[in-house]
Amino acid sequence: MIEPLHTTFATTAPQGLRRELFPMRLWRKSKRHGVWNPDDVDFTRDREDWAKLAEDEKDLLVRLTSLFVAGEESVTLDLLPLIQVIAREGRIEEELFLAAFLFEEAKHVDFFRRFLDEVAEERGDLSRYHSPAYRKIFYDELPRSMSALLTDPSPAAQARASVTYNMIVEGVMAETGYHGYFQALERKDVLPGLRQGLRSIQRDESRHLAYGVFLISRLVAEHGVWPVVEQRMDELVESAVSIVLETFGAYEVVPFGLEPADFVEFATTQFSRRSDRIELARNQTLEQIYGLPDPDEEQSA
Amino acid sequence: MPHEMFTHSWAMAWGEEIRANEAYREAARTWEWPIVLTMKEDRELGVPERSVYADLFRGDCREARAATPADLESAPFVLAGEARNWKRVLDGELEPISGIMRGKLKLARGSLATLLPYVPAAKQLVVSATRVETLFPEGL
Repeated sequence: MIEPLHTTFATTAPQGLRRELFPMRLWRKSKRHGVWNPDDVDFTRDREDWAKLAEDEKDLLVRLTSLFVAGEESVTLDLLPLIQVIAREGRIEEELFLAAFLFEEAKHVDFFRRFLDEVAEERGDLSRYHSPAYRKIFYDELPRSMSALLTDPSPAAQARASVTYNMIVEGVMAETGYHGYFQALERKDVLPGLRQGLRSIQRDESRHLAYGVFLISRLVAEHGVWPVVEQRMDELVESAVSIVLETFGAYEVVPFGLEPADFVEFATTQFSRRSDRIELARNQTLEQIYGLPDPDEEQSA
Repeated sequence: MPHEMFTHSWAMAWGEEIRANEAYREAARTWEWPIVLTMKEDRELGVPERSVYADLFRGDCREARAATPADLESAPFVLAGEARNWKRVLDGELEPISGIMRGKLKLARGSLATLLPYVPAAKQLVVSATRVETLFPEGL
């Protein structure tokens, strides 16, 4: 048990806040880009567009949104144990960013529920859209791996939690989902308010992903937990990508002319890129991890 | 008798193991496409490119052998990887679907979306392969 008392503070020590560290760069971006307000998104044209959509198109959008809103609720509910572990390790620079991280996830919940309430006017039980693979990840694996940190803050447990949260949930499922939304909505040039919110959310999430890649890389470089990372990816990636097929498999002809294979391909490309990035950390120093630019960070700039 | 990885004799032994694998027969009842597995050339290890072909049809392996150039052209699924990654698959250290998602194995032809419903069958193909006494390239 770590004694929860303070013997020193970084901000009053000679080093102060280490502003050159990667998490501080993400924090600066969050202060600039993460302050959008879900209430400011204008849904006037979205309501007009919604009335003109075909029933199967509405069904797909409500289905996708039901996956996102519950997913965002889940990541908001489940993030705290990781923040607590980072705080207890005294990593103030990382915690500053994680404070924004949680705030941003909360806004995402707010935004998606607002869309369901004010545009789709959907009040029913949407958990009917949660497929077996989705339930495995969000009802079971994510809360289990995150809450494990309450009793086991070891580097291996942190790696398992972060792979689940960042690499699988945010890196495969959420990113592929945004791709689905944009493919559908831009093709028909509809729902501009939803698209505006999605763009802001996607930008927030790219910072979260960048942090996840950083955290896992730090754990790999410092504690040699690559085998744990690899095992966790093996355990979950198949379920994560199966959600794509389960989601689109509900339709004989997928609305908006979407092709499930495109999304599997997209998920594969994104996942392999990040997996390669983390694997590099096996041969990197902590200084390199703290200082190197990250492709996800560049996207969020 | 051990068989050098991805040679004709290795493919024949793999085919026998597939036919003897009841779990594969059950999992692949609706699979009806031939596959080719390719081990890429590795000059460092002194390994030439080698490919094996398996004609898989509704739970059966109708034929398994070294792949011909025609097989490479026509097989609907071609999965390629470096020798070290194939060894990890055969050692049970790398799941094939995860390997594809992570870019360790590449679907040179075919779609992962088609393969995904057959993950249990793919796992049994690996189980069958692990039962073949395999001689890996020196240095792996």
